[in-house]
Amino acid sequence: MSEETVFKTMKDTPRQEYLSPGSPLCAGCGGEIIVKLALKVLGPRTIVVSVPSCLALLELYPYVSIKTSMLFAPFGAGPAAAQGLVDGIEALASKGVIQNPGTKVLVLTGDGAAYDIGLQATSGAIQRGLDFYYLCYDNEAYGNTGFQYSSATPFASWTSTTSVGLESSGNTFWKKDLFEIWRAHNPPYVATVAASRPVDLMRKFEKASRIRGPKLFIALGVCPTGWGADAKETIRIDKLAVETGMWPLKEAINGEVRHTYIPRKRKPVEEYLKTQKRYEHLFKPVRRDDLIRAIQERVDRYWESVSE
Amino acid sequence: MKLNIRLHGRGGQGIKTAGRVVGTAAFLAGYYAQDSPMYGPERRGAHVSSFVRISDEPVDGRGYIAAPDAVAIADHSLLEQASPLQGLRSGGVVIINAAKHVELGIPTIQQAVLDISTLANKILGRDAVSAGVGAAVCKALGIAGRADVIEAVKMEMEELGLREELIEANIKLAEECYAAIPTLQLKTNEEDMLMERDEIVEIPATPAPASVALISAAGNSTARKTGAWRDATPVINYQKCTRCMVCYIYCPDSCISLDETLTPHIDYEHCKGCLICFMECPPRAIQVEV
Ligand code: SF4
Ligand code: SF4
Repeated sequence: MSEETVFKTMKDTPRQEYLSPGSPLCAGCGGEIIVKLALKVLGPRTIVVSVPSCLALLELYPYVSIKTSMLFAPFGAGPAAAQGLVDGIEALASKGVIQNPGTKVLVLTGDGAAYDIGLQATSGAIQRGLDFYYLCYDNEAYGNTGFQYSSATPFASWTSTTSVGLESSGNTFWKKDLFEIWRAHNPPYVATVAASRPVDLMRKFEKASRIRGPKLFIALGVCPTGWGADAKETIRIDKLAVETGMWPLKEAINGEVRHTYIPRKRKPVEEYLKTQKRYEHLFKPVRRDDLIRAIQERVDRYWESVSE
Repeated sequence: MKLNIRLHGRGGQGIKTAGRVVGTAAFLAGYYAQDSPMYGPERRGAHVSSFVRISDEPVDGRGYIAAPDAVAIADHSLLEQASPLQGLRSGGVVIINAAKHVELGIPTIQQAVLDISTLANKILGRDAVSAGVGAAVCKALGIAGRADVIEAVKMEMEELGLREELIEANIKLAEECYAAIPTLQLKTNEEDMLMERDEIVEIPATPAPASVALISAAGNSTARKTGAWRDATPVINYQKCTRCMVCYIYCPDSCISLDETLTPHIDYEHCKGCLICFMECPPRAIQVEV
């Protein structure tokens, strides 16, 4: 269990900053915290490949918030662009044009690209064993265009296209299990992370940086605007997602899954659901015990299958 | 008649819809009208604007209105944080959502003040001022009569898909604002621009061999002063601060920096006021000033 790590406590957070202030992202954006922490570990020689997503706003002509290099790719083509960069760098290095640059390529997408629009490009890149990082900021909907449903949207939650009313109670589908879909491709490293667990997050990026091949991350991206919560609640909500067991923190090294945090006494999912307007209809005007129970049972079933 | 109006507010207040209400009311009153919001990624709390061109001839201008005849300001704190009066013609009109007359120190412009937010909070239960601002602009500038304004509000609110009660409430807000604000006489002329445009970022032409938007800078977003988004300000009490780094780690916008002693410092030019630092500080060493 005890692996070499420089990240033992929050105080070990690197002091270099690779994100500048002044982005047009919403106040309290959970995704921005994730990117900030990930880049602190990956360092200055990281080329970020961005695709349409909220986080694409980190680069908005003529301004950019990322202090390392950055390339913008079409929605479904992040990993394909990463392949071009990785191959190009390798070709230049083999010709002696550049020397051992130690460059890392990080694809940064939202759930729209990761779960839906770009899934096939990721599948191809993992299958080809591309040496890259993929970070999906999962705010569980198409946040940048008005919060429409994506296949990452959780069951029974409101989005602008999964309505709530007398006849309907939000999304009727269950969230797609992208972790397992990625894992089925046999990449050397897959992990989930959350902003409220910065040490866990930094360790995972540190671990990944010692591995060659596809290294994939799904980060819970608390979205105060889309989820209907006050901006200051971002970390609180993030913590509740972890403590209720709704957002498991885990990694799979060469396919073997290990949970990096197991909430000893899981809080009822209700405590998480109640913090967000997208779940308000589960409590008002009448309490929907049937739906709350369905969500709870799903979470319980998940954790029953977790040994350790 | 040729009338160019620029509306300013904060994301979430309904400034785009306010512009649409004015444009639609002018159209119903028989004018040519064009309305458009400033398209950008700005979010809740950020400064946003929209534009309305009204004329008795076809409208040929497009885009940003640099020299408006009238300006509407839905949040008067923007007067200090943004430059909503930029380019306003002298003799022009400014319509401000505020409780009382705002001293602008510019005698050549006329001011109509109405506390639209208080009315909106009373009628709608929140600071959604689009119908109120739209109606106030129409009346203050004599663009359209009451019936046209109400019809425009109804059309725009239906377009947004609002529930019946909310449409009714917005009409009520529009009616009250229409009744309460006076009509002012515009005295602008083409030549006379009151304030020069400044603070406009010029984008130099770069050779574009592959037609890409190339930004040859790293982290230059510091030029965007997002501190203007803030409606509450976190202040660190250094007596209580234990130098734990928590606020530094969680600030989404990298607005907290640490010095050699790990003492945190907040960058108020950019702090958006999310107040995560206030919520998460373990010894509660951060206070909020409104
Ligand atoms: S209020 Fe938000 S943006 Fe401002 S310093 Fe605190 S965490 Fe950063
Ligand atoms: S979180 Fe509070 S105690 Fe910790 S460094 Fe920031 S202000 Fe100081």
